[in-house]
Amino acid sequence: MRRSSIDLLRTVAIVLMVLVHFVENLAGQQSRVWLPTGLAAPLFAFLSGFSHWLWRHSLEDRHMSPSEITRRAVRRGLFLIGLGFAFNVLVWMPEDTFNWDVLTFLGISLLILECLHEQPRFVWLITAGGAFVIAPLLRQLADYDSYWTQGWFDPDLTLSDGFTGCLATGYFPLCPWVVFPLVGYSVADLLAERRDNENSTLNRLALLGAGLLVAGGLAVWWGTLHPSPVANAMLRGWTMFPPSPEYITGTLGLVLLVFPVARRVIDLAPDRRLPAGLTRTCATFSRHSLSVYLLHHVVHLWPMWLISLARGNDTTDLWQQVTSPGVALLLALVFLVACQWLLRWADDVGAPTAESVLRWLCDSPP
Amino acid sequence: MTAALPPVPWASSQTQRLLFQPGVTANPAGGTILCEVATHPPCRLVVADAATSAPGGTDPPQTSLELLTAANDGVPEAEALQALRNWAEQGRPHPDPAIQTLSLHGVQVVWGPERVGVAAPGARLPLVLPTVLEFVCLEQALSGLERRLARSWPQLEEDSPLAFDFDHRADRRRGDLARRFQEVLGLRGRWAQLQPPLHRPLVYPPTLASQVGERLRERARLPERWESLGSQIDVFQNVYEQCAQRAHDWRLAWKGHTLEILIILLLLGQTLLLVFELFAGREA
Repeated sequence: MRRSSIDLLRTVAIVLMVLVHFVENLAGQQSRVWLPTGLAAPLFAFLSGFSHWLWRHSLEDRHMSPSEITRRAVRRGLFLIGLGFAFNVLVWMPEDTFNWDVLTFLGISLLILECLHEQPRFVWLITAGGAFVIAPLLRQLADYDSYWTQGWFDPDLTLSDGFTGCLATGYFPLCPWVVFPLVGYSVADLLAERRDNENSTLNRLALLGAGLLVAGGLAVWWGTLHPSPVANAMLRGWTMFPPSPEYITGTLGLVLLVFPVARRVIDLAPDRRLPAGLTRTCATFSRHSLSVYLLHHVVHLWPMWLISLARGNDTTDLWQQVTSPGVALLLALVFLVACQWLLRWADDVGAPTAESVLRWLCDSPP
Repeated sequence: MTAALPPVPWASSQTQRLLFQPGVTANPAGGTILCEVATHPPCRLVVADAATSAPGGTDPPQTSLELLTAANDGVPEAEALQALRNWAEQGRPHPDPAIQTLSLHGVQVVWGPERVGVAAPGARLPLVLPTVLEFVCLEQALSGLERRLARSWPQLEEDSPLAFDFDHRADRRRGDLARRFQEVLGLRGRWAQLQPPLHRPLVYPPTLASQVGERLRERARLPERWESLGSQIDVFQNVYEQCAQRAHDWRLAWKGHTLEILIILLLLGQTLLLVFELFAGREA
């Protein structure tokens, strides 16, 4: 059974992601107050962990053998990793193969969740806490800034750069990003355990989320007021690249605040339902989030590459300087509308999507 | 107290609505206790007209019964028995296998799930009625336990794998298991308390009432049903005892494993740092 709250939150994450990517890739990465950067990925990663728990336990409820479930989960993880590398090569550039973007991160997180699922909840949370604590240390050891001299991740094609990129210096390194799927997985497990008393558990989660959000904000404020070598090394302000402790704490708090509110307001309120049209739209985006992720990159990046090539210039010549932010925003909205229509059509006629390929490849019996 | 529905062959009869209270801890407010079996808490038959439910609302659900008593002076036994049976089968399929009859020394008894009828010569009716009511009380108590146990079989099937294997996911059901184990112990307790009244020594020299009581128990197979119920409760108790043992063992083992897991996690973290430092150092 679909949960409207999860569909809605995932749709919010996807829409934010599309808007931010269109504006940043077409109009540049200047700081814009009105553009909510850095909020979509934490929400999406949290929901991926939450959904993985639901997916796993739905198969267990159908009495599927544990080895078959693990096999499917591992195949899904490997599929995402492979797709992530293919995406980096085909949509970005071959030299960006190992930039450790969100798809490879989600694939590796799935494998980590699968390794830990037999363990109790506190192990998941300790692993998340460990990844959070160790991340600034790893960035220091790897000299994070030396990989980001031009504003984007620029590693050498070596084993050590690949390893450090995956763990600490890439776009979505496991430390600390794995915190979100692990916390999502733990929250799903906690809510299932306390389903008889879900409302009070959600209240506590929301309270914890608010506390973390405030703590993240206070850490940013404290870092600016009391600069010191240690603070400069560890607390770097509200930055997504690198994912600073303040950013991770704050966004984790935001996710933990937003999720219980959505669950209570949408799913658990007996006399309150989302409008049917919105429910369908959210369900479509949520069900096809992987397709939307792939498609929106192709739609707004490939034309830039092709036009540059046709003009005989460097492939990335037009990157971040095609149009104004307003036009980019408008193009993103047009894309979202067209994408919604396209996905509904694909559902109606049974056309293949990234999700159907994933299921065909990973979920079919041996 | 009302007159029995016509047509009836006897001149004097009455019906009463009774409540069977399988384990009421408080005294019924205003209800006349017709019969009480000395269990703890006692099983009672109470006149329904004046009885109200006990305060607190934690008592088990009550069963409603209709009692017909008739003085059948001058009425042939076969006719009286048929009339009782017709009354007991009102609104039920005919013939209803759930309705039993007994005719002994001029006393006719009919009993079914919701109705009990007794017809006897006027002088003997007060002598046999308490025996019939005690039988009804015991039969209802035993049936109640049988119904509760029958409802629990699906839960037992669901829980029985945990008697063999227990893990942290099963630990989430620990509260449910504890509650069901307690319920089984409660059933076992009620079952054990029914033994003395069910296996009471025979009265010598026998009286009409004692003979009617013995025959009713025999016809309703109360001792056999009690034995059978005991065997079923054994199955439940075995499974939940093993579940409790597994859960306890798992808890104890887990307390030891927690420290081991923490050490493993720390070692993994240290290894990760070492490898990372190695790679980062080579790069530098």
